[in-house]
Amino acid sequence: MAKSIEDFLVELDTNSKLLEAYKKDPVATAKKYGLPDDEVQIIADKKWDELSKRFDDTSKTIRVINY
Amino acid sequence: MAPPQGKENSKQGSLVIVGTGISVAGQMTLAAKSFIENADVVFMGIMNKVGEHVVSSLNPNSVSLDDLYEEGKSRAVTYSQMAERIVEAVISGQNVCAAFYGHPGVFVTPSHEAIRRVKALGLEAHMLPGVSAEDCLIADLGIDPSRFGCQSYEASQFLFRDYHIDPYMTQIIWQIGLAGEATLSVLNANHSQSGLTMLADILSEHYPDDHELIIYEAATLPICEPKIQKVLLCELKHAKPTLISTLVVPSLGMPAYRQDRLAKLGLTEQQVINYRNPSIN
Repeated sequence: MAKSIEDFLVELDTNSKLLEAYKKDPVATAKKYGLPDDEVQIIADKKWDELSKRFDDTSKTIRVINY
Repeated sequence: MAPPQGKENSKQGSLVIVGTGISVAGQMTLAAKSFIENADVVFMGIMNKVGEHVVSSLNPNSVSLDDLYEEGKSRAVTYSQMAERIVEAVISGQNVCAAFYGHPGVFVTPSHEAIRRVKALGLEAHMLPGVSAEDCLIADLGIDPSRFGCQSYEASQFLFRDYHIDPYMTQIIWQIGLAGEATLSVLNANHSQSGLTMLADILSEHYPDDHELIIYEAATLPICEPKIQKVLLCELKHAKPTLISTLVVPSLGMPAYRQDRLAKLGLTEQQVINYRNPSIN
């Protein structure tokens, strides 16, 4: 069963061996992890802004009033 | 031993506020993870869906606070409602964890407010430290805040009040994407141009026009790099910051020694230079 890119990102962020493998060969590492083809393609195409937009909601980053 | 009669109803709630770090999972401390796992309910102010996924996996009874943000609504109201939601859960007798991205006490109004209100009720509340955007900035840019000293402040607060820049210290100016925005009702960085121009003018009083500044954004995803954009001071007013952009103004260098203070301490300039020279000591 294909794994989710969310789980892949979490694993990359907490598993230094996987991160090193990813840095050497991102696409092969993503495929070996079990990402579906369309998500491997995002990595192959280096669509980082698309990924950030998919997961980050910067409109909700501000959380302070000081002035 | 069986709990005393009525113990369930008289259970006192408590609050712990934790940070999940800037990245999606790897900067969460072991202690924060444990408090998330063991809470009756977790409130999340994380702004990243992968980060929310991590927290929800640790504790299925996790609820986002993000629904309280609305374009056109004052963030003063939003933050008050966030604190209210957290405090209400504590009052109902639950062991509550509130998880905010980054450090939960750095540039976070509702976390401090919730702790203050819970303590005022005589209930237990505390905060755990987390990895903040400033921590990421220090690591990514190789800036040691102790090298020249550091002034760190929020852009609008600096513009609105009578603060003073020490150009010999590193300046870290947060939330430049909202510079000069007073209504608290916008959730984008499209209104910062006049504030940014004013900030550039103030900086020009202290630094040369060709002083190189850094507009920085920490990476939230492990496959992305931090955004590090170098701009000259004279170009700053044309910059297009986002809501997570931070401006770093490098120091002009070390200020001169204060000979009068050294003399009062029985020291000379040459002595203190020699003391810290490894080839002499």
